[in-house]
Amino acid sequence: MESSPVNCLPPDSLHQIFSSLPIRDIMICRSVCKFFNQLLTSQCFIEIISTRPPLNLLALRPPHHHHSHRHSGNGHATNIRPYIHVYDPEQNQWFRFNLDFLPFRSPQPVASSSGLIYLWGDSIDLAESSKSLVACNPLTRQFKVLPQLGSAWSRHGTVLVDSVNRVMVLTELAALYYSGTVVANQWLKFSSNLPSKPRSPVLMSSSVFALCDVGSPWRSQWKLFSCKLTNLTITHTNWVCLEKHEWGDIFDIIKRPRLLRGNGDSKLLMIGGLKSTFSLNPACSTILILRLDLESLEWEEAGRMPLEMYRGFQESSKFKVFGGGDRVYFSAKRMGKLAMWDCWQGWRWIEGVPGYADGLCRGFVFDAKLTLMP
Amino acid sequence: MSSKKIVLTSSDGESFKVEEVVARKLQIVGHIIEDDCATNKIPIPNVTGEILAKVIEYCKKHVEDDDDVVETHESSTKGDKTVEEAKKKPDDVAVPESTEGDDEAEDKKEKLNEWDAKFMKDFDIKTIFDIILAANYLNVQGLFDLCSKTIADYIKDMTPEEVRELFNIENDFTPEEEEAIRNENAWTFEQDGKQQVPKP
Repeated sequence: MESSPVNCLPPDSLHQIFSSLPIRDIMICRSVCKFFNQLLTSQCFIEIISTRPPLNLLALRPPHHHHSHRHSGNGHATNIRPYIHVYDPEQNQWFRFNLDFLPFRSPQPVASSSGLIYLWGDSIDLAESSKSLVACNPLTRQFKVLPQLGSAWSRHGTVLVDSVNRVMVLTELAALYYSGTVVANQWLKFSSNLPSKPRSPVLMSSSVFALCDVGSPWRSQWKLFSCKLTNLTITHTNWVCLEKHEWGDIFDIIKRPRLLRGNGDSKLLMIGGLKSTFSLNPACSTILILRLDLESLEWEEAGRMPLEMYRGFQESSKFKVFGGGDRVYFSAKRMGKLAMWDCWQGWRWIEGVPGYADGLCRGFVFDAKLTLMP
Repeated sequence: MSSKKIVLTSSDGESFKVEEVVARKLQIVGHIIEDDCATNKIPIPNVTGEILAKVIEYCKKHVEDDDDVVETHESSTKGDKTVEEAKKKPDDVAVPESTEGDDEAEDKKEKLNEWDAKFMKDFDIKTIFDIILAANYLNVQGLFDLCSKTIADYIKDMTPEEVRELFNIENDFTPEEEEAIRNENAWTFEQDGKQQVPKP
């Protein structure tokens, strides 16, 4: 039998051919033959494609389970194959990653950065009530377990990660901080001087940003706080209120504001319903996206949901906002689809959202790449 | 006065007479010409006549591309000819207005891309691979890139079985190995929601 002409090409020519393919096609080709698998998993090929832009995906958090699996004595109940649903906005396609390479029951993905997904995993020892935060790459199926934490942190804390794989778990009262390089393999605990529970905290540019309600139980009064990670003292995080006279009533026009990171390193997004009046429980005319330039501390309107799209959200009493960077996603009860705002291409619907009974899903941006585990 | 001709000879003895400016698109040939260590005949021992013909056809079409040509250095022995040739270069012609020029350049590039697509259309995989080898050896970067992209476009959205068929590759995985690697890459096969529209 004549050998394949592909065997006559030198490796660098083959690398050139495959390196222009999307990541997904590269991985499909790994299962063609042993030669391709070897070629496409080789160190030098991984290095070639590591400089390429990642796959900009949306990862969905799994729906809440209302009962713990630990209460079920049946072994089969814990054999549900774990996976994470992912949406590719450029291909307009849903698919999913298996997480069965992880030695944890019911992994709960919560955040992502630098090609890695961070998730809560139950301790393997059934007797303990602790959890571990795990960093994993579902493309390469590698993972790294961070030191264990009590289950209260996974229940109440918000996980923040940034580009150098720093990890924070943030609650109203305290923050845990982990860096693979500083004080290796240990969480550092800091008490917090925030006036109330931080709302939708964001970690970017070596700072954490969060909203806090400093008003009364009857009327919310939102303020924007930030904390520089380089300013961490031994015992507490030092939050300062960001404000400017020119901002005027910027927080008063938005109902139940949420924060997301904008595109680049110095933009912050604030999203919420646009109040139609200043009364105590105002109706909203649409959903507004505001953008804050962190260098000039100036706000601008980034996007406004079209009225025909907003009608669906108006009927629902509750909606979720997630994503960040170039795109923001919205889900609502009984909606059955997502709304998406793209800062370059505007608004559109996303159909085919996988199995969330009440439609109220949440997610995060996942820039997928064949990153090797740090 | 006609410009200088170069004769390129393939591995199977076929000869091609080309303008020097075209021959320089083959950078390895360009370097030989620059070194002035050749007669008008240059052997290309690693490339067959069939493939060399294709490479030359591409180089003739892309003779005005900036990327591939070896830079000309003036030498005392060729000084007069160089000056004379310079007078005929299109650079001397008055440049039209910038907007017109941009439109013209854009239109020209689009036509070149159409030509490239037509040029690649009827080649089988073996021929494309042979052209890649030749372009790599002769250092014709534009043709190398074009062929690589053509192969990549074929592979895109294919299943493993289709890739094997395209390249005439045997599946040398054991069933266990194949299952393991498919499991590893399961996300590339599993689709949620709508199936993709099949390609024509």
